Amino acid sequence: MNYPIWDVPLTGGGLLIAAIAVVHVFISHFAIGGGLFLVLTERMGLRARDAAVLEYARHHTNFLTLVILVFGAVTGVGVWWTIALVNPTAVSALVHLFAWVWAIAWVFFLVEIVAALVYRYGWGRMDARTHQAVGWVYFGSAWLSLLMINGILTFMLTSGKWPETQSLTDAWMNPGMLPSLAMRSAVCVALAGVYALITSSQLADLALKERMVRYSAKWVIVGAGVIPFAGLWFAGTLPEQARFLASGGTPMVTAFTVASVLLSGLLITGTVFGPMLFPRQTHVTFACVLAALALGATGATEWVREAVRKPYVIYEYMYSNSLRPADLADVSSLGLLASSRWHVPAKSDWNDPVKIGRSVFRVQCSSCHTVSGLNSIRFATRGWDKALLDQQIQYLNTLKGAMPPFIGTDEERGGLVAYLISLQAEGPGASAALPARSEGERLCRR
Amino acid sequence: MPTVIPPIDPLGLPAAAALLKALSLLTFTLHLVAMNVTVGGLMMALVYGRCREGHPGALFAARMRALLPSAMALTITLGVAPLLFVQVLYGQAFYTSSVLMAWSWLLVIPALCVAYLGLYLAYLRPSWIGDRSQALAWFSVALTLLVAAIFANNMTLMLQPGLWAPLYATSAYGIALNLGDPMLPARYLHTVLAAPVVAGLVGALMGRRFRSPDAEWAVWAWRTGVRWFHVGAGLLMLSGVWYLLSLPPRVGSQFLGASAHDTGVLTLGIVLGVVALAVAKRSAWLATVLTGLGVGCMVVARHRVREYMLYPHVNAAGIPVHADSVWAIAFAVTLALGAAAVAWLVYRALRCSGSTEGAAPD
Ligand code: HEC
Ligand code: HEM
Repeated sequence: MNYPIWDVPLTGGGLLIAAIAVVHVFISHFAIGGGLFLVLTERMGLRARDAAVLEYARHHTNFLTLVILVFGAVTGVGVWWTIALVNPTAVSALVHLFAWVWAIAWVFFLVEIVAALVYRYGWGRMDARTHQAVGWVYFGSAWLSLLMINGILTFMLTSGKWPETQSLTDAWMNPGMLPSLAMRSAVCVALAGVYALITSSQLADLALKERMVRYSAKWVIVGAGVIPFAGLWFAGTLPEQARFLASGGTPMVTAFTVASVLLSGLLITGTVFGPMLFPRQTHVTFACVLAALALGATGATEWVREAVRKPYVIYEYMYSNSLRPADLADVSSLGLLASSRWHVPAKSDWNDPVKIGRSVFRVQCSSCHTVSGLNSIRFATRGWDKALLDQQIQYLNTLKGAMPPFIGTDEERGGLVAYLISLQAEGPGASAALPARSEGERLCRR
Repeated sequence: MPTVIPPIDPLGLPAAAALLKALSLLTFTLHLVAMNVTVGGLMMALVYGRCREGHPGALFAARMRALLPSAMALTITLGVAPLLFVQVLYGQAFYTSSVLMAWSWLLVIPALCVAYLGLYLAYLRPSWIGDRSQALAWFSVALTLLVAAIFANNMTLMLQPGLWAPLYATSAYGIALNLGDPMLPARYLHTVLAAPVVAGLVGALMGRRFRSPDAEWAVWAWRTGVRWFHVGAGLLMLSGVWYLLSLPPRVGSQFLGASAHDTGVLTLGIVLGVVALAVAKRSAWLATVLTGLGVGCMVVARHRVREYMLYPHVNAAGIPVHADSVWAIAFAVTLALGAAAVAWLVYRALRCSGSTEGAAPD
């Protein structure tokens, strides 16, 4: 309404966000866990005066600090970059509310990068104590930046006391913050272990391999073992509607929830019965399968986290289509298009309901529906007649899909109906072939 | 036209606009310097990477190369803060122009990933890719320059509210660019030409730092760096004149006397640059400090251009402030601690840089 809308044909912008977000979540948690892994492995080697273990830790520093860390940074910027293109109003709200939190996270992030570069440079150059200290600064600042950002992420789902108090502290210290932090920290540990399994399973020295594979497997088991408990704690803080969506309310979301739990279970089982019991026999292919399970579990969990937020993008503050419940009354009386800066049809088109409807659709529905691609509106309304459409749109927030309520004047609703009917006439695989469904038929179907 | 300007975000600013602007300018200056080291350093590494074994240029290129992945990582990290502040202060304009050029704006992310990966492979894992590393490095430079061009595009498109609605009417698919804007090529050139200037200084400083093991090489590096600095700065000045003339007259005139402040800032920047040129042969450190301050002046000038272009449609000073002093102080404390940590880390790294046992192997 306030910003131009980026038209991404067929998939809509949401899929772009999902794609980059999954990659980012995987890499960034791995980067943080990897920092801890390096420091602790180095410490183990130092205590045991074991040159082979030290060499193993040193061997992975380049990849973790120069590749994973930087890619974590770029993809993280990329997530917000993409969300800002798809939903600028929501990003604007988060940026304005949390500016200081972002800024603090940025300081930690800068320290993390510098420390990681110095840690890499210092291998074999610095005395061991200093090098360990640098490593702790690297891991510590990485985790602190997770601490800051995590509060923003959970705020979008559990806004807590903020709607009443409007205090930044309440917004950041929201109910989901601590459980999610526990969960994410555990994910970091598990992912570091998964990566270490891939590398340690390739060691040629069998005695060293046995030690390092067992050691890495412990990381996976400890991390992945904590995840379900933290997850339950987190689920307890979810808004009722969100919990409903995840546990039976929507088949798709429920399926992903189940997938996430199953994949995590498989990861633990596989690690116990594989590397933990048979370290010498562990093959790198098996380690890669475990990594794939971990990636799957991470992706499914993040998908659920996004999906259960509907119909909001920021819980109780802003709907996915950037409209705010607080604006409902004003926009309804003034009219959606009259309140909009963009997507206002030309004066000459104000008598054309289809053109008005097209604008209404773009502003209010296109954040979740494409015309004929993903979650196609043409498909969703196939065979509906005018009266049924008009009636259903008035109760949009009670239909399946966890949609926000329709906001607009009677005239705008009429325009939206006319536009959706016009889509049926022009589109492929719709219209005449299907008999129009009546309201009675529809009610039976439900 | 003003009807398309998005409304002010109802959540307001987290602090006085002036404070946020100061932070934005400070962090942007750091980002710009790191960017210049990266781009200019890449250019130098490529040029001297062709020297045969034994020529001082070969060692020079090798030392430059070793810096580049870190310099690029820092450029990216230091860019995050100004990105935050531009959204807080000028989100109304910034989000709009970003959406209009969505696909090219999005291209920045994969382009950065590939450019960085190219650098990493070419310079830190040459054994993996063999003799294609030079070609790969060229590819990375091209991508980096492309990223800079996309930035220049968005940073100028956001200043042109009058273009937004017509561009959107042409296409809502996020494929707009700002290519018709006379400011764009001049501004782009002016920004990119700062790269060899700053990297030249880095080269000269490298000559100073490694003086002891190889005096002959050090003199060569020093001379080469200063030469790049001089030639680059001459071109930079010319492009600056072009840029100034390409600004809309109502804005450009501010820097030519209409506004004493703005004229003063630009003049100071130029004077600092000229003095840096004059002293570069004697003291690279002094020239570096002066150039840093000069870049700071230019960043302020750039900021003033933005304010003039956007006024009165987008005006950060008019956004209500919902200050939260506890969090502002928390940020100040974190920043101080962070700066101390970075200083300690750099000190530690410099102290051990004499020993040559080598960094982490593959
Ligand atoms: C928050 C995202 C979102 C928004 C915004 C949204 N929808 Fe939906 N809509 C959905 C989802 C998800 C479904 C369910 C799809 C499924 O289950 O197949 C759906 C389903 C529908 C259906 C089919 C309902 C049924 O019971 O069969 C209609 C009709 C519909 N949407 C119309 C609209 C219209 C009109 C708008 C704009 C005024 C809109 N939607 C806005 C997410 C959204
Ligand atoms: C040593 C000399 C110089 C250096 C190192 C330098 C560097 C820079 C840099 C890095 C920027 C930021 C550009 C951006 O990010 O868009 C800038 C901006 C600017 N420079 Fe220079 N410059 C120099 C000389 C000049 C000269 C000679 C002029 C004009 C006569 C000039 C005019 C400007 C103007 C007007 C801006 C403001 C820009 C804006 O709209 O963003 N500069 N300079």
